[in-house]
Amino acid sequence: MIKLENIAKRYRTDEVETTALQGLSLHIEEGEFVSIMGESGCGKSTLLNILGLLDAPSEGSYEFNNINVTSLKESGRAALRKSNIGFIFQSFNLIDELSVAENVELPLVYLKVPKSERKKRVETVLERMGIGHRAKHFPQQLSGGQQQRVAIARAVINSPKVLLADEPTGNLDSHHGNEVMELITQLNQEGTTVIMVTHSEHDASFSKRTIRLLDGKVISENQKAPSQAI
Amino acid sequence: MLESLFKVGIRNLLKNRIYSAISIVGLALSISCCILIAMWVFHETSFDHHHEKANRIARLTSVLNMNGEIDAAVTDLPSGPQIKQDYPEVEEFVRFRSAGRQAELSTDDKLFYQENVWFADSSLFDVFTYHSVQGELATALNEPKSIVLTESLKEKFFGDADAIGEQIKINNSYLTVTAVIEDIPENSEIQSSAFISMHTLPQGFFDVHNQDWFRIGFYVFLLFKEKPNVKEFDKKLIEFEKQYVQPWAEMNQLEAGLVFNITPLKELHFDNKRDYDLPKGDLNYVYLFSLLALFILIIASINYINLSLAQSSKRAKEVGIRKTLGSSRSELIVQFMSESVLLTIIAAIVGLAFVELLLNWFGNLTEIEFSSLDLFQPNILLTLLLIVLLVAGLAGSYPAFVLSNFAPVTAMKGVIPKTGGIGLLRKVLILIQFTVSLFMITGTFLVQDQVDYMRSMNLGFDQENILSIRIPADTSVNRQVGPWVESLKDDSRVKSITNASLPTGGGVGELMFRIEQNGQLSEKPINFIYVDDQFLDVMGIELLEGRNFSKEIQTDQQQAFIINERAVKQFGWQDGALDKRMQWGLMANNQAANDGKVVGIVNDFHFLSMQNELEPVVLLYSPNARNVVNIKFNQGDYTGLIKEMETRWVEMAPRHPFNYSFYDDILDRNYRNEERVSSVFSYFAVLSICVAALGLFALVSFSIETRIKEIGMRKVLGASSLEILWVLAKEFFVMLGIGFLIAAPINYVFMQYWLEGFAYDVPITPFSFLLALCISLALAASTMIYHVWKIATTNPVYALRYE
Repeated sequence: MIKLENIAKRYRTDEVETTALQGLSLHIEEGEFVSIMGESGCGKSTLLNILGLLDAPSEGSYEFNNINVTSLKESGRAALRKSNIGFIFQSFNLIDELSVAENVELPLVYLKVPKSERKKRVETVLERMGIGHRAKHFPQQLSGGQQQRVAIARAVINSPKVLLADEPTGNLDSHHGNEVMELITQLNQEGTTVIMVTHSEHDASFSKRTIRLLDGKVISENQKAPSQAI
Repeated sequence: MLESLFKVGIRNLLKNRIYSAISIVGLALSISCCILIAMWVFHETSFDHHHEKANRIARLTSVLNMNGEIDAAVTDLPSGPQIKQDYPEVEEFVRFRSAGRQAELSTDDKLFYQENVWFADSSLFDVFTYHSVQGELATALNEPKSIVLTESLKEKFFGDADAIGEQIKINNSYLTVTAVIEDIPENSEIQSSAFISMHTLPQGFFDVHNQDWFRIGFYVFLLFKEKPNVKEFDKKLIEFEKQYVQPWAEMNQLEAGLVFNITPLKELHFDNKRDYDLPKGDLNYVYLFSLLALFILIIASINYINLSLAQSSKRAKEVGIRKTLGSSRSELIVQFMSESVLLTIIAAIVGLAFVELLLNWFGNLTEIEFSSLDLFQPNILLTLLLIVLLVAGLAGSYPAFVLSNFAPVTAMKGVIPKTGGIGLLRKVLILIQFTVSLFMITGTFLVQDQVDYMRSMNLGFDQENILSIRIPADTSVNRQVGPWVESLKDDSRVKSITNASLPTGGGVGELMFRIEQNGQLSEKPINFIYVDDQFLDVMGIELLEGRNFSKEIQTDQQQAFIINERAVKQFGWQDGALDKRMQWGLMANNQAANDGKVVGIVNDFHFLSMQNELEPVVLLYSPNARNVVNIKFNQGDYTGLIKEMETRWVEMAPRHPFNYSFYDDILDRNYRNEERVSSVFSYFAVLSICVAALGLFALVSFSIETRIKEIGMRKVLGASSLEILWVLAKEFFVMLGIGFLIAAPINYVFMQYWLEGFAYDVPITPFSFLLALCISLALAASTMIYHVWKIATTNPVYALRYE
């Protein structure tokens, strides 16, 4: 599903060059649930952005679903992204001016799904996330946990092959955090590939594989026995 | 998709209520301004377009060269028919002659002094388009003593009754109403309340005029078969002059010539440099006001752009999210553009409401009657559409094209790449705003300076406490009024009384004189006023040399002239002007009806308004002329006397209105045009500075909002509110200073140009410039009072926790 070979990413600001990723190779199969962990500044988010086709690597090659995306332009990446990848962020990143239903509907709007179909799918996914009664509310009217559910609903509304989560529980208390993790796990069990960046060992324990980064390199990888997963 | 764009647009506007309101109000005000000005500009540029044959009509004018040039809007009587006869491309001609400044029209029971009454050829309705309400226009002016009334004049006389066949009296002769036409549109050069058939004038009049190519006194229009080529036809007119006018002039031993030329009807309104012309427009003002409207639009658009820029970091996050979720760049461009279109449309609607409210006021200011319906004319709607597209395009393009280009990851963090471009753009835009505002404020002061200057200048005569009464031409009334005016002289409240042909300061006539120069007589057109022996006394004009006219000297009417100092200088009579020979009522062989000598010299006085340079003038003695009586009151309350006069007047001349005005009011009217420019300028200036101030307010608010952490830090470290505000706002004051440095020289050059149009221009002093700067600084500072309070009440702890 995902093949990264010798990926490097360097940022240049004025006269300082920072290396975020260095010679990183990674293979992720369809249906996996992978956690990426590491200290602040180890390159986790950069990696996630590259995986999510939000950013392009400076070096190396990236194959997504058997397509070499390394040299794709932004428009090509956007096209792949909108039908294959869903995102969940620590800070939810909901659009404040849109209602819950409208936020969730947005990916379908960009996929040009007809209105009646959109409505149906939004209703279903909101029900599933347990926030159907909040459809007309605006993000600021919801608790953090509810906002993150909206964000998850938005991420999965177009049934993406891959779900990328960046510290999905970082802004939530443990109760709401657990709820979110259970939802993500459930999605994974239904076949969605999940890649999650996290600081939390607890959250990582939901995944089947944990990759640890340090200074832009993979330093360890541990596979969990299927029984360990919840 | 559209619906969702609309929804998001509205929600964004509502979320940033204050900024949206500032943008919308600013834009709405400026749009209303633009629409009002557009209405005025369209009015000014649409003169006479409504005539069906407008493209084929041109006015014939003549430059009379007779020891000095008179570029006259009028020409002689014979040229029209002769040109039609000689040039097949000319289909028809029509001539107009004024029936007097205020023609006295009456029926048995009603009398009105009517402006714009014309004698016209019967071809009038073949050339120009008028719409008949009653009667057959084609034949309406065929017979002598026919009159065609406009609808409103007909109503004044006859109400709703049928007017055809009714009699109207003018100058003691009766005219028959043959037709009624719709009122003449305001955007017509030839304003008229009635047309009288040309052949109503006595045969003797035609005999004299038909034989004299230099008796210019007719507005002549030619109808061509096709749109005329002006240059080519003017060339033909040179030949025409050689063929007819030159031989005639030689035969009459006149060393003079005419240059004929034509002006297309549609260009007539701005052809404003000729003597004896109808009221005209000024193309410069059309340009000037259009420019002002554009300035205001720019100022308001800049507010909007700046506020969009200020909010761009907030919007960047949204861009990031949308891009992450799969939005394409073009979708984002459409989104931002449609938001900007939405806001502009709202502003346009509010602006139209403002226009509706301001329409009356604007009509008074411009002296044009506008109606709400004018708003829905295609050209106004088109202008509105253009404004909306322009403003929406300008204001929406930054977020649309720049924000949408951000990489999703950075955009989502709300971090805008620091290219320095945005900051610079904002500064440049603010600078433009300040420069334009300063330009307009300074302009207002300078224009007002000029108006005040003209008003305060010594006119060379005394204009206070003088009442001017118009005396009817009606001989029966005139006979009664004479003794009455005499009797007023005995009233203790009256100082003195004079008759004069025209109120001084309100214009004079020009006559052809012969004057003695180097032992010879040479011809010259000179201004003249008919006066009596009291004129100098009443007007406070000083006799410098010689004597006044006298009732005792019988020959004074034909043989005595009083001239002003300017005439002495211009005629080269510095060695002694008294007893120099002058003639008027010229005949061949140096003969003249009036042949005499200069008997007195008076100080220069401004018989024209101050826009014109002082010119030579000749006073002619006419003790019995009673067109206008000027009564000089003694200091004190004379309102009672005016009431008494009115009562007496009504007894004497019950049908004639008691028409009077004070001299200073008459003079004030001369400055109406400048007053108007001055008021329009000042309204615009106030508006532009208000809109700019609103923008400034919003920008500083925004800067406080986004730098709240910095403010908290500074507070913790002991800065006062004012010190903090200064950090945030100093760049604005610096820019105001730079704006001043840019605006001042432009103002200077511009005002020099404007003042060139005046014979007497006020010196431009730095005072107006500095005053404008001080006012702008004070205004800028006052918009920030709120901010000082806001900073003062900000809790630093909260500020530091922010984010």
